Parts: sequence; structure tokens; C-alpha cells
Amino acid sequence: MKKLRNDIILIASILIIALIGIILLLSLSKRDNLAAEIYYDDELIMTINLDKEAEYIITGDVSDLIIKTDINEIWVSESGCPDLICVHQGHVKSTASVITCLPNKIYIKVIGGEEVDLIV
Amino acid sequence: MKNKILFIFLFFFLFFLSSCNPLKIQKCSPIFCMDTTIDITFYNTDDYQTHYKAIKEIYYKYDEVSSDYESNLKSVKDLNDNRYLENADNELIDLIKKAISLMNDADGYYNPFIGRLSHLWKEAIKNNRILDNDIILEELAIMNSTSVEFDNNTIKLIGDGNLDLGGIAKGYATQKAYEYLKGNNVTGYLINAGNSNVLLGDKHGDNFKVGLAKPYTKGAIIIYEGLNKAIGSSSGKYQNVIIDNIRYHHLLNPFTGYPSNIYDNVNILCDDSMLADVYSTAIFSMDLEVAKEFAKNKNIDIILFKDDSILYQSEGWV
Repeated sequence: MKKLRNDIILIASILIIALIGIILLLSLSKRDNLAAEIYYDDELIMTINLDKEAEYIITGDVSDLIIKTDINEIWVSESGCPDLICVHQGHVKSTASVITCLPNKIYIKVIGGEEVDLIV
Repeated sequence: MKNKILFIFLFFFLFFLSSCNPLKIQKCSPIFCMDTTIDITFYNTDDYQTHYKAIKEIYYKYDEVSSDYESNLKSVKDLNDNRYLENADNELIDLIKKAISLMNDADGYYNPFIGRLSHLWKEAIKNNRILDNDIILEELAIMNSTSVEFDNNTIKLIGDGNLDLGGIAKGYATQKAYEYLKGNNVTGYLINAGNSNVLLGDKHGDNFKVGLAKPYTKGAIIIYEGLNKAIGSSSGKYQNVIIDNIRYHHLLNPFTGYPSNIYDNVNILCDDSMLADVYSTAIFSMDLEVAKEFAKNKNIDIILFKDDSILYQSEGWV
């Protein structure tokens, strides 16, 4: 009888430890801060944590782009491309948002946060 | 007895662990084509790089044949310039046939012969001016008297109008990507073709969360949760100019020849990416009651935005 009780305690302990492990794993995989991936054409050239005020210069096909970040936001402040669509897209602040500069073949995608998979 | 209990516990424990197969996100590099970027993500998909390459080729192919610029393949530009095209690719022939059939299906609110007028408006908008009304009327007459003939692999334009496949090519290519994925039993994917054409597979069996953005301010207005669907969006917010408080943009009403401003944004939810693309363009020019009736007849769901709020929303988005 005592052995049976010990077995049950052992199994219950294993289950509890496994459950704690899974919860920890899930919470660690969630990111509080957003980040941004920057691609030139189809190549990932940089991943930036959006956790501070910062400025980056990226060279595209027709000009340099000045990319600025602050906490959980990113934007293109200057570009030499003709239509400046990337600059006019303004500050993007939510996960899955993108900024594209077609003439420069630069693509910026906000990741993390896990609020939504996509914004259209 | 003891062993039996132990066995049952262990069985459930192992079953529990095996059911916790984690979500594996397989992001792919963006594809620059069709005047936009195509963003593809797979979920728990074996050999996803092979599928990515195959889909990339599909988009490249349709980008080439539908191009209004210089292209490596025989394209719409060649057809518009020369008025006929010999030995055209079957892909282009099928695409044009589909575009013409959908022009009738969408009651003329989508018109692939709008090429010349569309080009003139784009030039005007770029130069911060609006088109002269006489030119618009003249171009509408040309558009309405243009048709296309096929003789095996030769395509012939009748009349003086130009083809513009911008309202269908991306959705058509996405639908071809869908057919490829289905044929290869791939279910876990998300394709975002420039935010205006989205294909949802499933996320390791789960729903996706798609935020529908307000047209002119930041932030999502509603979150749609679903899977195995196509979403098409049309918006006048890109490449526009405001003159006398009227926004002039690239989405033209094929009956008036002017940019439509009934809505700021139209979102379509249906089962076919090509239809999502074409219908979002068509509905953009329909009055509210016409749009509601059209959506009902076609069994599609729509959300119509005006002034950063929802003007009309059908039931399927919830």
C-alpha cells in the first residue's frame, strides 16, 4: 500500500515538473520587446531589437536609407528613392507590420510580441 | 494492480508529452516582384525550402508575363506595344482569359482594358494634377471598344486600348501557389503578397490572427481569427494626391474613369485568392447597396472602411 502511494507521488511529481517546464518554455518563447528584421533583396542583413533610440544606415540599390528606432517602433527617416513610399509609411509599432522600399530592395518586418500574425 | 495504475499513468504522461509537438515557424526571405514583396512563412512543414523555391518561381513567372515593363518573357507590355503576340506562354493566355471572364463576372466593375487610362492617371498623380475630363471620356470610349482574340498561342488586341493585369496577376499567382501547396499536401503556411493579397493555410492546426488596419491611422481595427482562407484588400491610400479635398489615386471606376472614393479600404474574405484580388478592386467602385448585394450573390465576406471606421461588415469576419 505504501509502495503504491509512493508511486502515485512520484508520478504526480513528474507531471507537475513537466507542466512547470512547459509553462516556463512557453513564457520564455514570448518576447516582450519587438524586434525588426531588415532584408536586402532576399537576404536577412540585420535584426534589430526595438528597445532603444538608435539610428542605422542601410545601403540599398539606389540610395542609402536612414532607419531610426525607439522603444517598440521603427521608421525610415530618409531615403533617396523616387517616391519615398518607405518614408511615408511612417512609424510602425506593431508586430507583423512591414516597411518596403522597392527601388532599394529593402524590406523591414517587425517581429515578436505575438499579438497578431499579420496586419493588412 | 499497482503495475496497472503505473502503466496507465505512464501512458497518459507519454501521450501528453507527444501531443505537445511545438509550433515550428519557418520564415522565408521576402520575394521582390509584382511591384511589391511576397512574404512566406511555413509552419511545421518538411522540406519547406523546396516549396519556397517552387512558389518563388510561380510568382516570378506571373510577374514576367503580366509585366507592363521590359520583361525577359513575352509579356503584356509586348502585347500592348505590338498589338499582337505570337507564341505567347500558356500562363499569359490563361491569365488574360480569366481576366476577361471576371470582367463579366464582376459586372464591369473590374476592367482589364483600363491600361491606357490607368497609365495616364498614374502620370497625372505623380505630377500632382488631375486628368482633363475630355481625355477621360475619350479613354473610356477606347477602353470600351477594345477586345482580345486568341488563335492558338497568338493573342491579338482589337481596338486601341491597352491591357492592365495589375488587378488580377498577384491574386492569380497566389492561387497557383495555393494549388501547388495543396497538390503537395502542405497545410501549414501563410503567404502575404504585399498586404493586399493574403493566403492563410493553418498554423500547425490553429487559426491565424489577422489585424485589419485602419486605412489612415495606425493600429488594427479588428482582429480576424481564421484559417484556410484568402483575403484581398484594396486601398486608395497608396500613390495618391489630394486636390481640393479630393483624393486621387490608382483605383479607377471603369464607368466614370475617375478614382473611386466611396470607401477608403475594402477587404474581402473568401476561398480563392484570385477572386479576393479581383473582387476587392471591383467592390471598391460599387455603391454600398450594390456592394452588399454583390457580396451576398458571390458568397464572400466584405468589410468596407470609410474615414477610419467600418462602414459595413458582413457576418463571416467574426
